[in-house]
Amino acid sequence: MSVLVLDEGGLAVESEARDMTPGGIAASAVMHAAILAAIIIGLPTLFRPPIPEDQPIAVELVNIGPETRATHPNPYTPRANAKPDIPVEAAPAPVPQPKPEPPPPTPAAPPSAEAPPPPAPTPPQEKTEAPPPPPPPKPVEAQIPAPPPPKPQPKQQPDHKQEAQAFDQMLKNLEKSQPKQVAQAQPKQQQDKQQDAQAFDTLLKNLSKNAVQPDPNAQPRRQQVAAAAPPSSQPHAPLGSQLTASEMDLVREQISRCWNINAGAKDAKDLVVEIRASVQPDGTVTQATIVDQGRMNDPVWRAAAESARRAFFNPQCTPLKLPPDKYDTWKDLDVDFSPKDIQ
Amino acid sequence: MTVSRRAFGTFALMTPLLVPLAARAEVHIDITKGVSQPLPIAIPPFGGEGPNGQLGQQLTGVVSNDLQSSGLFQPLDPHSFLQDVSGGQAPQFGAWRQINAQALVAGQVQTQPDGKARVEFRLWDVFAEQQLAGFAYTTTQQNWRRIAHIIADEIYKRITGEDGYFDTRIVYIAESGPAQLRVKRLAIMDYDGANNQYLTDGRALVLTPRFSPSVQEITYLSYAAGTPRVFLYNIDTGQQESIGDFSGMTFAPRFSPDGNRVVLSKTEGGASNIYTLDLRTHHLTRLSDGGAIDTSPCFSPDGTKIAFNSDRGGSQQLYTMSAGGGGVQRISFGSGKYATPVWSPRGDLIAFTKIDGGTFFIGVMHPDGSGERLLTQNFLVEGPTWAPNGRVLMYFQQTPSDRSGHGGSSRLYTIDLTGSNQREVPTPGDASDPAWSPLLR
Repeated sequence: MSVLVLDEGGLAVESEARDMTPGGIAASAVMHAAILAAIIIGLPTLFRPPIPEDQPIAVELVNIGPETRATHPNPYTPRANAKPDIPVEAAPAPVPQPKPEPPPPTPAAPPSAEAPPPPAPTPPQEKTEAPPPPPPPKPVEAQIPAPPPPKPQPKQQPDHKQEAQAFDQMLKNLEKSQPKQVAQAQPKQQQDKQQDAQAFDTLLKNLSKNAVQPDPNAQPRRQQVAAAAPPSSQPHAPLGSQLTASEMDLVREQISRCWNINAGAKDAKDLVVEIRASVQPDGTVTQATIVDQGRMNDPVWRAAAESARRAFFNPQCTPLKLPPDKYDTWKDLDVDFSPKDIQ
Repeated sequence: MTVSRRAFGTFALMTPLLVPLAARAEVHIDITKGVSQPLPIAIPPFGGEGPNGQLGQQLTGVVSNDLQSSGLFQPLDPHSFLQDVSGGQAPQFGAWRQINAQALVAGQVQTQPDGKARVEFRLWDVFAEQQLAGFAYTTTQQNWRRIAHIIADEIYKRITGEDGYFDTRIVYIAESGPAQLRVKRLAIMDYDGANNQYLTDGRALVLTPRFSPSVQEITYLSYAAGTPRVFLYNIDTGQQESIGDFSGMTFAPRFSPDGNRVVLSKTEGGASNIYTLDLRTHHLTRLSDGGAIDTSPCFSPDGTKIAFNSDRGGSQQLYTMSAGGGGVQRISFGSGKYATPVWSPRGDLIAFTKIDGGTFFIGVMHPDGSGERLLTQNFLVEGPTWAPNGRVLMYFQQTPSDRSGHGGSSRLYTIDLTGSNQREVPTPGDASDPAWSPLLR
């Protein structure tokens, strides 16, 4: 029996064979049993493919990160008239302007006419009859409300209803001829299959040329950024990475140069303002919203907030220097303006 | 293994839940540095027919000068303007953005049937394309400078969030004549040097004028009675009166924030102590005690404390105490001597004069003595006084006398809290001891 055990024990055979005392046999038996058990239990695992147990955890951590950009829906996708991923020569949709220009001044309605306080019979006018200087009399004061806002230009962007309809239509087209991604043309025009096909052909031509057509309406500086990342027509933005530290530093430095601080204001270091900016793929900010509207009653804070908001529209900050391929990450920016490092 | 599978399964189940969170995720950027540059502002001449057009040009000239002198605004060259808004046209913001204007002021002047001028203006945010402020003023034509200052104040307030200081006046000591026979007169003018008037004839030496909170009275030191006495001057009536016949000299008066009291120094037996005088009862209350020289008292804007300088510690330093006396705390600890503490109207700083190594400095520090900053220095700079918004100081600066021994010229200057915007205030002649009024409104 012991010989059998020794035989099965492999390398241990010789050493154990020289010392065949009963105690030694027992010890050897125990040891060999242990080795055998280890082989029986352990060997299968040796031949199993290694399982990366840590991988799911790693993925989970990335998703939890506040700055992740993993598979979040692209708000631009439903736009039926959105520019395709590669600009088409005949850009169907009007390029979203940062702000629509107000119409030329209407001939009628000068501000004075719009100003409600009729100048003539204001009762407090007697105050103007103050004695001559010193000090000079205080003039009567009347507040002029803002004139009615200028009518926006005819829609540059289709409304949501149109977008939804167009998106439905696009989905139908997708079913019929995949992988067609081109959206419809002008919002006012009827979209038909032929037009889609033409647009898709145009897209393919451009793809084959690998040429990025510049947007004639965009400014030259913006084109460099915009060309690589126009609004996506895909239902979901692709996975991508976060902004690197150097990319963050670049845009931080840019915004810092555009932020005019209220130097000399009382407790200026406490005037922390958060601005939420919606950024176009070309890096221009279309909307900069002061997050804490509840503090706008404080005139000093309001001035600081408006100053921070102006930073996004300063020519030096238009467009923002952000990596186009990570547009999905920075299409919304939360920027905290905190003058704590200002002497 | 089992645990890992479970974790993976859990993750898989959670993934749909995580997607919406990821969709809301945004890039957060912290901006902790900025620039301090004047805001480019377009101030086209206010429109108006005939003489109103000329008045509009004068008005905008004063508004533009006010804003530029603050160092916070940069009025743009009118020749660069691409749109005419003098007729009340709605701004074409693109045209103003093109010249880098961030704010636009458009206004008009009209003459009403009763002959008064009606001046209206609107302040526009060019980037946001919205009106920030709009006011109309009706007054006599002669009052146009004041309207301009008020408009500038409104613009300043809307953009900075703090009150302006343009609709204010300065009372100061106008000096003339040789050093041995110096004539010193009480004078008053607009903050920008316009409308200068002399209030006293120069027969008596006058010093240290200070405005009352009501702006209708001035307290000052006069030698009219032979010895230094604190006087009151009523601007409306031109009446002067001594505010008490006390033994010893009284000097360095300042009003309390409510205007009902005057805090001053009174000298007796080689010592100088601080008193308050009730202007209604003429009752004198002693606040400091001892043989030291306590002088230059100044109330805090809330009236609870008094800053003063004293040599009680061996050298002249700044101290604070409670308004009722007591609780004395030394707040200056730097080298040299400190004098003339003046509490900021907004309460956060105390301005002072410092003499160190033969050089004079104007500086500020917090009321607890921390954060001392020297804003300017020269052969002789002295007598700081705060603009009503607490962001600008005025003082006088004297140049050295020449070889013949004649005194150098003495001029008024303003400097902002950053120390970067220093400007001379035009006066007809030499000037010293300025005092800034509160806003006239």
